[in-house]
Amino acid sequence: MSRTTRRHLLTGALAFGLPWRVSAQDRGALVEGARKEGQLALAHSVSVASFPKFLQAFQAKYPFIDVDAGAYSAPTGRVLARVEGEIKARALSFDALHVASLAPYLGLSQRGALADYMSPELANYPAEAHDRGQWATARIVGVIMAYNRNTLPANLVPRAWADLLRPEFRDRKLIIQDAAAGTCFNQMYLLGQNLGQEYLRRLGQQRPMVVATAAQLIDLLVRGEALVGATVDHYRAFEPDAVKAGIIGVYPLEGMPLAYAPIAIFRDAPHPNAARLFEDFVLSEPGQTMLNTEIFQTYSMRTGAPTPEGQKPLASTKPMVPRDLADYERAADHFPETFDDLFKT
Amino acid sequence: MRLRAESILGAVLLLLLLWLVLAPSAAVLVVGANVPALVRIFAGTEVLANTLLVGAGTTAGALLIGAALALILVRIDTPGRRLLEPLVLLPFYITPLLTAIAWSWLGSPRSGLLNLVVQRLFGHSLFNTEGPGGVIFVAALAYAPLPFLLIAGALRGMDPALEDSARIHGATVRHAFARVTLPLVLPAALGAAILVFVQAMGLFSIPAVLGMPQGFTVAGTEIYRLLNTYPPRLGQAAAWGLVLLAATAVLVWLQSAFLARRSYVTVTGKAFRPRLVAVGPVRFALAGFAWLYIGLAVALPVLTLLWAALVNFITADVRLMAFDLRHFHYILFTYPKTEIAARNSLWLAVAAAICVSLLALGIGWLSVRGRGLGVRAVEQLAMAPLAIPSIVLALGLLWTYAGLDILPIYGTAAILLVAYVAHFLPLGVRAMAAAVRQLHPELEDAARVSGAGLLQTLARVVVPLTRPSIAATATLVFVLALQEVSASILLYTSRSTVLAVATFDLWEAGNANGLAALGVLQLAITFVALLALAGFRQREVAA
Repeated sequence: MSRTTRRHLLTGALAFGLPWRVSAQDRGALVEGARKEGQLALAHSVSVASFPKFLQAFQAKYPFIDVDAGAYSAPTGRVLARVEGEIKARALSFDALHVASLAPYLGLSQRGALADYMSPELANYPAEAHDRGQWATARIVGVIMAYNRNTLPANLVPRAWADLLRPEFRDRKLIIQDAAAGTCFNQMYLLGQNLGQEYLRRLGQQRPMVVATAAQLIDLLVRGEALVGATVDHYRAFEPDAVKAGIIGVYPLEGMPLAYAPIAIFRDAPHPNAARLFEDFVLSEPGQTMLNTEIFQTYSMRTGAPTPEGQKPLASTKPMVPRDLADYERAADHFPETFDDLFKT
Repeated sequence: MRLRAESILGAVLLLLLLWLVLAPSAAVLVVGANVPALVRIFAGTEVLANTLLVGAGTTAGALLIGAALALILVRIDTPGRRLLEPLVLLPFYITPLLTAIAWSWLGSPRSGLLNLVVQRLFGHSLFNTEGPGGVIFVAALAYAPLPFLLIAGALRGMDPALEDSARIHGATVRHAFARVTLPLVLPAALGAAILVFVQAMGLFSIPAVLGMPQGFTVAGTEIYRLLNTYPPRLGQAAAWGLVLLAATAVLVWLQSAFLARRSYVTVTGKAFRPRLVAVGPVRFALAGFAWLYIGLAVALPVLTLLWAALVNFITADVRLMAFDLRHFHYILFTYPKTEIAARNSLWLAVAAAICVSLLALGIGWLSVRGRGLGVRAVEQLAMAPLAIPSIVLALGLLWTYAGLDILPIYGTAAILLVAYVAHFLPLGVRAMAAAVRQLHPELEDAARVSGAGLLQTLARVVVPLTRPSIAATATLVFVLALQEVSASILLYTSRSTVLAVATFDLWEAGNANGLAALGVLQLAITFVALLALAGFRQREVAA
């Protein structure tokens, strides 16, 4: 209850242009603390080759923080499994979490595993971009379809999610990501909510190929091993190498499921000050420009942030978002079994 | 006095082995005894059937290739056999993960390099290395050196007088081979089959690359999936570990029960050399078979990796390809995991090599010179990891050490070291026991009579005389530890990541070219180590 009140207060403060700020004195203490800690251990699901540039930019700003030694990157499921294992073993080595799915943040927050930190940068974000300083949205990934124009004839190009059920896409002609991928859960949950569970059942009957990551999916499309990517992290379809190799992204007519990729700090983070500085950097204007424009081409929730070049503005993609967060979180808990029932039998 | 020193050594080794081997096995038994999870495994029979299929297919393939190579290179006058013999062992030193990835680029149905060539010639694809066929094909190539080593050893140790007797009594060459030679190599073949089957049942990297995208899941990849989805399904993964452990235990028991029924003694006190059989021009075709194996298991995958490391990106359209060193540059100077993974891999491989060699020397010496039930227990425990797939061993270690405050190695590189030592110990024990067996006990007795204690005797007599075997064991363990994926993937953390895991991460990240560059570097380290061993051996021979 008290948390809800705080949230309302914060929202009110933002509305009146009086954001919560870290004072200059606090800021000095934060930097001094981070200097003593000397390290940031980020657990993340980012697999793009240029992401180290982002970490290096942060390190260039705070040269006394080592960002490499403790970093851990893997598909969302593996990152969360590792985090859970370490929390259970009371040996958490991570400071901050950045994966492309909101559901685990809701669970971690409820269990008290996340730290409260109201970054001063949140003054530039709408209220729905964060939750009481428990987590804040760093970027938004859309889930779309993609194909290789060198292998798929123009007359077979799908325009809607419903087109994936056509007979020509049966038996390993489609590729989706595995249950361990955060975007996969968000896509399947939102498609189930919007197109019905029967749609998902029929999609499973198409017997798609299942890969661990979006990058592998694009790799197989480039190599011509399947016709259509059906769980494509939208920015992957617009990467220069992918475009050069013939990949074309398709915004489905029914709408684009969104996966929020928040940043959060663990309550038991071994380097909490470094983590706070990192969250500030992620949410700052230069951080968002670098993350969402230069590295990912994803959508930013920061006020005034531009739409990535060559992409549709978010509002015109008919974005699909979870309407009932409690149901969304419950579905996440059972998703591995749901996915197996749909796609592994 | 000697008995007392031996007892102390035996007790120390027994305790170490209980900690290394028995504790993780017990953890798998306890956590895996989860009835609903076991019911789920046996209710959905697909993964179980796939696992058995890969186990049986890989065993049959590897045994056929290994046995054929052993006959061709040990008993037949095959041209170039001295050169071929070390070459057919090379697949042992290439991580199956890299072989699988290379074959996915060579034989995938639409964009595989071999298929691109064939398409140009015939207009359609011929090969498909994805799915169960590809998994079995690559696994058989990767594991064939194991039966080759064991069967070649048995053939070398066989007295030709046995075949002569058959011939004198009127048997043809073929008949003598079928009725004398084959039955006598049966124990080695059966032992090799069990070894390969156990490894194949717990396969992870090959089915992860060639099976998972096609929906072909086996026990190893299922355990990995269960632990890597959110929320992780630990009970189900442990139940799979228990099933694999039980299956391999039954197999090992069946093997000993079968071999106990007959005598297979072939090594006598007389000195002899196996006689080569002249087969005429057929020998060239047989040499061709050996070269084909080397081509498929070594040359093609390594060349493909090199190609992928140099090409801008892998695509079905040849016109888009360009070559440069950008991926090596990325791996060496940008990829953040290279440095930490290389550092961890190297020190872990060195530490595992030292630990296994020392432990194996102690256990090998005790098993040859020692007597009593305790000695047999030490020997049995040391060899037990042969029957435990490494992914299951890793599961056991995970549950033994997660939250164990007395020995907080979970989440550190030390848990990887424990896994490597336990997993590779049987190889070391087998090699060191053979080396000790070649030493006459009089040498040690002379040292003891002169007042040396057990440790002094081991350090001053046994170690110097078995130095070549220690070096070979250490090198073998170093190379195998450098490649290990199945256990590492479950136990590593950001601080303890290793090269094989970094390679797997690049594969998952879809960075095919980067992983090829890292794979080439990993192979380079391996071959430098092997060349160093060869140099050491030459110096020993010269001395």
